[in-house]
Amino acid sequence: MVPVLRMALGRLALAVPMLFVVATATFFLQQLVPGDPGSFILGKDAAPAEIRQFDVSLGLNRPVLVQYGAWLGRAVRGNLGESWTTREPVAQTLLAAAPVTLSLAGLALLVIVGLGVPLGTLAALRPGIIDRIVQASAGFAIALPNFWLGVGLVLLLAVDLKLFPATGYVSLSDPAQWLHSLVLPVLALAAGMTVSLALQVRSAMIDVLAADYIRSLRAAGLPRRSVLFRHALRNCMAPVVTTVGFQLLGLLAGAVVIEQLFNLPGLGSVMVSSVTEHDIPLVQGAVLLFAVLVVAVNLVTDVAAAVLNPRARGR
Amino acid sequence: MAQAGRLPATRAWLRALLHSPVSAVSLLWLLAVVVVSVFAPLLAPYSPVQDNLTALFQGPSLHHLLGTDELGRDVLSRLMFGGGTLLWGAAEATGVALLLGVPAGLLAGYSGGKPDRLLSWLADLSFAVPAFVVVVALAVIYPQNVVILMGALGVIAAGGVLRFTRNLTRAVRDELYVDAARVDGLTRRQILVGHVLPVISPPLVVQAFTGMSVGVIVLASLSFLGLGTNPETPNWGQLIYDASQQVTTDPWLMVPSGAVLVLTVMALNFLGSSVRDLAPGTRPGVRVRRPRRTGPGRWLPPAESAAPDESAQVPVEPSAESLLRVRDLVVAFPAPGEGRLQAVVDRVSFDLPAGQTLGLVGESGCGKTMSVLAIQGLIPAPGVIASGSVRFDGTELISASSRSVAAVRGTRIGYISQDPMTALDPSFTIGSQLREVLRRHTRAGRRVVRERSLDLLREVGIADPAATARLYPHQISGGMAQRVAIAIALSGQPDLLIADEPTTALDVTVQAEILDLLRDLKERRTMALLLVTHDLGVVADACDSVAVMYAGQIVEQGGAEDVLSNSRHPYTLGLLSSMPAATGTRARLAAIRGAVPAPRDWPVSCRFAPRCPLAADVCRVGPVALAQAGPGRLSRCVRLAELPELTAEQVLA
Repeated sequence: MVPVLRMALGRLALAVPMLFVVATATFFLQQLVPGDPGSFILGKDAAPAEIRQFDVSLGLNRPVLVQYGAWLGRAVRGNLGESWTTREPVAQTLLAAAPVTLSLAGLALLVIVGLGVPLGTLAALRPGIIDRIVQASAGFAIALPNFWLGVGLVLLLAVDLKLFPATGYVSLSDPAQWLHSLVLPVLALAAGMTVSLALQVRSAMIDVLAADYIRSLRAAGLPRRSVLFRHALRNCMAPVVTTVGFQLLGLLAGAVVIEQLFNLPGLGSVMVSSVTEHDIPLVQGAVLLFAVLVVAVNLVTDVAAAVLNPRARGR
Repeated sequence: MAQAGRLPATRAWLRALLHSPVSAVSLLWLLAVVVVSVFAPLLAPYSPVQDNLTALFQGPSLHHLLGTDELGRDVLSRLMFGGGTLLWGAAEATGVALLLGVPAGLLAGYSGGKPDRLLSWLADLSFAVPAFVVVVALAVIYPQNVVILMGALGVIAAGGVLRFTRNLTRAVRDELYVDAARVDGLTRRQILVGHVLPVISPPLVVQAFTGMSVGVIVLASLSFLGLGTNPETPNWGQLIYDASQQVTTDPWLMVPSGAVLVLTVMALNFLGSSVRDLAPGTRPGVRVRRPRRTGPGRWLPPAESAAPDESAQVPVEPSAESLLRVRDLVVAFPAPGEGRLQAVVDRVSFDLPAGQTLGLVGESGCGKTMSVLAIQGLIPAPGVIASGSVRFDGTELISASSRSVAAVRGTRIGYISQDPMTALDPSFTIGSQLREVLRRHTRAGRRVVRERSLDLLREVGIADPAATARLYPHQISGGMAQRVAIAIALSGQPDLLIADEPTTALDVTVQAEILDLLRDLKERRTMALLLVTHDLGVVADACDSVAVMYAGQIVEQGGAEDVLSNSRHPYTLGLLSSMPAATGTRARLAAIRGAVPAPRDWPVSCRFAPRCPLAADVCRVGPVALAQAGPGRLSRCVRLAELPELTAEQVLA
């Protein structure tokens, strides 16, 4: 396990300068604002004195590098400034929204892995009906946009059958209601990726089952069950974990759309509303937080793949 | 030059692409979407944005084929206008990603060193960027500016293209034709454009299709969020958003816009995977279509084949004492494209008495491995044992249930496969694999199993068993791995050990060690050994008797010394003369030319005739039976009687 730890620390050390570059790029987003921020946020018709007062109160009239230094200094301490519209600290807004997005993505991940792996394994082992269903539905399910599916689910299960709420989020303090409020968004987000993971597992499984060591283990007298579930499945996991890592990144992006559709107060909703309201500090903070999540997902994926694949360890 | 030579291949490839109905339909659909949206002003029956408050929410009718929306706008017209912008935006992002990523990737992969490190760092950086979120963020400055938003997406995606191109380039950089081009004095640019790019372009085309499909989804999502919209020509994502706002009033509106979007993404994905399957050199995404279980009844022998040859029933040794008795074993696979089964092992019979060693000899592709897998009930699908009998210690295995065959594996019959480096599970340590098998066979406690596993490793000649047990298969040498594989095969204390080319994949010095080990173990444990090999030297060293296989049939059989010193078949003679140590005292033939043909090309007459230096017209008449060729000897040669003379002539010639 020690080489894995060393690898993880190495990746972490590489991630820091990358986040720094992303943070810097995020800060300079503000410099792309046409004209001055005051008129951008208050509108061109606002009184010049009002605009000036807005800029001064936020320190936006200082030289760019001074602003950058101050912003960076605060950012490393977790202070991402305050919203131009609500005047609340950005970090606080993001922290309040993060659990929603993480719940959504986490549950979707559970569905994807929980259904995709067994389905793909079954398809590889049973070339008959299950395989054909997976194959036939795959092209369609992968192409179906999550927002279309989301609207369809709302119409069917929320409006017509009234099984689940159409919109809204209940916090984790009431677990049953929390789960209830997330069923439809999670389904909409996870459906396509579940099928694509099943396809991946299927082809990995077919490859592994044709491997010499599977035959050797059977020839040595191990029962089929243990060869399949202990050895074959285990050897499928390394490529599958990499796929799941990519899918998790896709889930974060998909959450932006799905949160909007289901009116969930997560990071994606914060992102979209701050964009429409020109709330630059909030946009910056959200981008930065998403970047941290992406880096974390990549790190965890790499480490998990290394743990699962002895050959990749201690390189 | 290389480019000129590749053009016809590209054309054939395009033809193949269009030949597949799915990809042809996909291509037609995409073409239709583009053409219709370009000529939409002429083709569309109505304006895409003109309200008509007298015709709200009309279902499909003759006037409005797909109905009207909440403002009375014609749905069909809106769809006709809305496809082009979507594809155009996706194409822009894909184009930017390829234009930036491919040249940078070529440079990084080809030159290595500093440019590689810098560019790879940039690629890594792009992986830290949440692409969709950044595009959404840019909408704060450039609202509704699809050109800038999709361009930015392309820039971020270029990192992935760079990494991909770099890895492809690295893989071909040291190929011979690239070296040759370098020696010819071509410039780096000429080499990259003329020699590297053509080779790596098929996977890049696949990437481009994937990129297009992702681009379409991203732009549709942006439009659904209201961030990448164009009020003049609303794209399909926007239409889905508009429809979703009316879904309780008129659910129909969701259908046309959703359908065209899904069809477009499906078309792009299908095209991508067709290109991948067709691309030369890349492993096609093989769809293994496994046929339903094929019973023995469906095996059709080649029409002209001989009646079961009685002589084959003549056992080499009295069968009463035989531990393993194989009779008329036929293993068959479905012939590609035909309904019938093709035999790859054709009526093979042999005996192996307890404690003895039988060599099964022949080139690759003769059916040796399939024969020994059949004995263990391990024929891979879609192959089947079409007929025959395998009796092991008096029990018939062919007709036995798979459960009772499984009970024989490991406990009565041990198996060592060809390549030790792939025969061990790479994800588990050597100790844990060995212990797992031991637990299965001994049902003893943890400590006993551990002790026994170390004893076994010691028995197969591993110096430091405890340390070796903690290693993973990739951490040991081939010879060590083969010893471990032998230890695993021995853990159920089998009476028969089947070793399939146990030394082929090893270094020459290690080969002798492994062979010695097998001989020792056989003596000490009084096992029978079935040794598959293409090396007659191994037979001379280790075997009591030998069966020589060619093209699925046994062609010569007898005592090992007998067959080696006085062979009665041209194929065996050919194998003998290709041995480096063969001495001049034996009758010699020129080393056999060519290779074993594929099963479907096996002749009905003597299967060796096309390669046999002694073949005459009589050899091409009909099937040849195994015939008695002396006491305990069998040979499948029409010219058996003339053979001594013929070989003498060959030696003189």
